[in-house]
Amino acid sequence: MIKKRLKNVKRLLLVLSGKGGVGKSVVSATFAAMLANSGFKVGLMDADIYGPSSALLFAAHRLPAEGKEGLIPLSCDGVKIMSVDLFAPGKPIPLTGSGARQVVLELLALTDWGELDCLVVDMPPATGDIMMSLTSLGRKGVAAVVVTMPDKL
Amino acid sequence: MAGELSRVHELSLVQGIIDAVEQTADKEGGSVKSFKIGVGELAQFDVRLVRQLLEDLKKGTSLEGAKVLVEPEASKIRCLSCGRHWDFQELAGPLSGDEREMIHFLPELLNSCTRCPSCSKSYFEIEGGRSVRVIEVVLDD
Repeated sequence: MIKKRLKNVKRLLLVLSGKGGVGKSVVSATFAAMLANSGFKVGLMDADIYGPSSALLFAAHRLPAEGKEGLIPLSCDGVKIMSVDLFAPGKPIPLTGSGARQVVLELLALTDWGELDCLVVDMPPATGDIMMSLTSLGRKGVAAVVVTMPDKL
Repeated sequence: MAGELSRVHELSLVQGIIDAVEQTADKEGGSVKSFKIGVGELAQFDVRLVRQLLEDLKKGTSLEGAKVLVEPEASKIRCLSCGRHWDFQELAGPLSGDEREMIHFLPELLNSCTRCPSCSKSYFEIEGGRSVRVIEVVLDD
């Protein structure tokens, strides 16, 4: 079902980092906004289940509506946004790695992204179930940006 | 059950099931004699509606002549802290309508809404009855 959902998404851009707190979410949101301002059709998927920030950065606070083809991502400043935070705003989400992975895959399977030039995915920090699942989707047109800090820490 | 709008969710999910069963048949190089679907308790779907949607959506596809079996699947949740097994009905009572809706879409959000009835920890995982799944596909000989 995920492959079908992403069929009309030309490119996936995974925004990664080796650790948290380096600015991944800000980079993801800024890049998505820049693409939208340049006239591209862009979506932003918040895959950082333990610390979702995309909804906050775009001031998106509504439960996604259901359309004929699936959940309709919120449209903010020309960017289509989907985040677990829209379903459980402000609630802690204590999940195992497997559970977090399941939530991300479920969101991808439920969301009707429509046609996109790029789907930016704000990834959780470091490596784990979510990163391994999304890089195993087996699709072409996947790029990655790694956000780093200029020090050994 | 989650509200009226969940029918759209059921429709989308059932279409996904039809696609998955057809793909299985294509991969195995056969035609489908019957297929069995489990409707997990946490999905909070109307089993009769899922059955009806499957019958409607398989028309005009390669599954049109296949027999469809739909059965409910009870939820099974295991606390990873104390080992206790429990089910959705044990804690369904105190959940608000919004919380049930959250769980309907994303069953793992059960962890945000409730705790283990034995040890009160939020460290548990869903072992069964999570969503709608294909249990079995039987091909023609």
